[in-house]
Amino acid sequence: MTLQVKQLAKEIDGRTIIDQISFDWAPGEIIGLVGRNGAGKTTLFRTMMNHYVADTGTVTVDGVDLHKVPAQQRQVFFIDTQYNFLDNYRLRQLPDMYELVYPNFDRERYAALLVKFELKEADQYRRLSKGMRALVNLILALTSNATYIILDEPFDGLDVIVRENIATMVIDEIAEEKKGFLISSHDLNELDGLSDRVLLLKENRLSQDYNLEEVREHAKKLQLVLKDREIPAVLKEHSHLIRVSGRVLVVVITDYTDEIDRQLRALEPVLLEELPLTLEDLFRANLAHDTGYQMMK
Amino acid sequence: MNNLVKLIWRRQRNTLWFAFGFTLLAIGIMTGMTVSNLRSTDVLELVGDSIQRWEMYSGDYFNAYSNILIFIYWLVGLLLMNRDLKDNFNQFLFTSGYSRRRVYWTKYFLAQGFLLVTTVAGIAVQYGVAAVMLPSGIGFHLAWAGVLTSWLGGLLISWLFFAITWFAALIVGQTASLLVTAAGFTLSSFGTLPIYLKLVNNKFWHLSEGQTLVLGFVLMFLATAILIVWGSWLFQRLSLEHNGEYLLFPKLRVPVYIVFVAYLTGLAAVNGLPITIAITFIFTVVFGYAWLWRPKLGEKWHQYQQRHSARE
Repeated sequence: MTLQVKQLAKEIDGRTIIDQISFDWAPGEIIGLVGRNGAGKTTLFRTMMNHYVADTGTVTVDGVDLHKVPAQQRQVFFIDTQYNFLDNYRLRQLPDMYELVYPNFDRERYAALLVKFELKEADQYRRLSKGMRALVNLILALTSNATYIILDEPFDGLDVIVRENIATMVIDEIAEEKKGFLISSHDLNELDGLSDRVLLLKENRLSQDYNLEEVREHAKKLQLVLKDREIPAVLKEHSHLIRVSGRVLVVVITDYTDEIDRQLRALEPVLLEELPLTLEDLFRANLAHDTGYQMMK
Repeated sequence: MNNLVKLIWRRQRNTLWFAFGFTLLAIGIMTGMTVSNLRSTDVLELVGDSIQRWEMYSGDYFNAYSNILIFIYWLVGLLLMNRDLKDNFNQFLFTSGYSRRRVYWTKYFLAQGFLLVTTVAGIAVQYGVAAVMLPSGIGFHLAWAGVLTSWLGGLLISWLFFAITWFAALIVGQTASLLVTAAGFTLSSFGTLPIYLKLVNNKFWHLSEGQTLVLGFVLMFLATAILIVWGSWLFQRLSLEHNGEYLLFPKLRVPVYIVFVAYLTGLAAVNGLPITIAITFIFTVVFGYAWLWRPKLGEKWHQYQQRHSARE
């Protein structure tokens, strides 16, 4: 089973918002979609879900075009956080709508999750706080039992407890590998430890498709204090500067080899220790136009 | 009932029940007030003799088909299409797994079915209240010819008015502008009657009253069918990024402009003096352009102001 996005493009008022977007997505994957504000993440979702009519391209589930066989759309779940119809409804009314669209909607689990997160069925959606709405959106997504779940900035503006709740629920859900998540964010820290694959949307296009496990296998983040103030050639050539504080350098080496390790140790640094590598470090290292050492001049 | 019908019913039932309740109440009150105020010394018959003829009956005290019913069709057409856009229910419908064509026609026929029930109930209330509350000494005699023609004609007008607002709400993305546009177009449509009568009765040919009526019915039905079928075509191509703009389909801007200018100038040409025609033409050309292209004009004006203030 796979959801495939092929060559999807959308122009609004003469401006290209997304262009030639293609990727595959299988159940069991948690894909992070990363891009700066206005990069086109939400437009991509809206176009995938037929809210916006695509200029070109297709979205297929198991080879079946969603546009030609709309019933396949029930395998994909998406709530537009900005434009949705939920505002006028009470939480107890929402399953009445969703069970008519998603044939496997789990009403009992919906009620149980509302109780678990202390959400009242009688509450109107619009009267909920931002965090509570995000939880309700996720509860609807999970109880829809759709195979592919799209979450648009689910952590935006939420406190740490709600974030953890959402992340835990997503990870629990993926365990059986029957569902897949596509989660957008402009904050890399939010996806750290959650996504196993990250798509980078840049200048309207999908510029990178990272398998994080593979990237992490080869990359290292090091904290160094060198004897000299001069930056050695091995660092200039192979590393990306993340932070500098006095003589302390924090660098990321995306393709760490034994040879690099040997050269670094030959410099006899005062300090050489490995730090935990975050998603943000990886992206800084992979996306920086230069190595960062220019800043030190 | 399949799930799509259930879904649309759940979504629209409050609007439809409101329309039902309002219709019965308004018709009951209006008919009751009109009838109970009549005096047998002034009026002998509630319904005039023309009810015997095969034409639509509209009298001083009684219409065989209430105008309130026509208004309700107009209002429901507008509400059903506009509310789904404004409340973002279209987003849910478009991802519901049902084709847009099916969503469109299910919504249309559900509304029409319910409105037909409302019409029957409204007519029953109107005729019932008239019969029950009519003061003694005043006659209430109906004839099938006038009644049937009125019901058929009334329904055709209702369907057309529903189609006008339904279509307008499909292409206009701003509620206030939609109300103005739909009301303006509906009111102006009464001006097409003299045009129609001139077209069917002139020095080249002459249609009888019966033929004029039947042709009118056929034309109304055709206009309704065109608007509804065209609406279905557009609904399948509706892309929600223009929600909140005057026109949801930017490609319709030029056709709407041409229709606006031609329609109002055409109305003036048949019903007015040459000076009225000229004024109408100039007004529609200028106003239509300013209205339809106002975001672009506003942007240019903003840029001009910025340049001007930068120079200062």
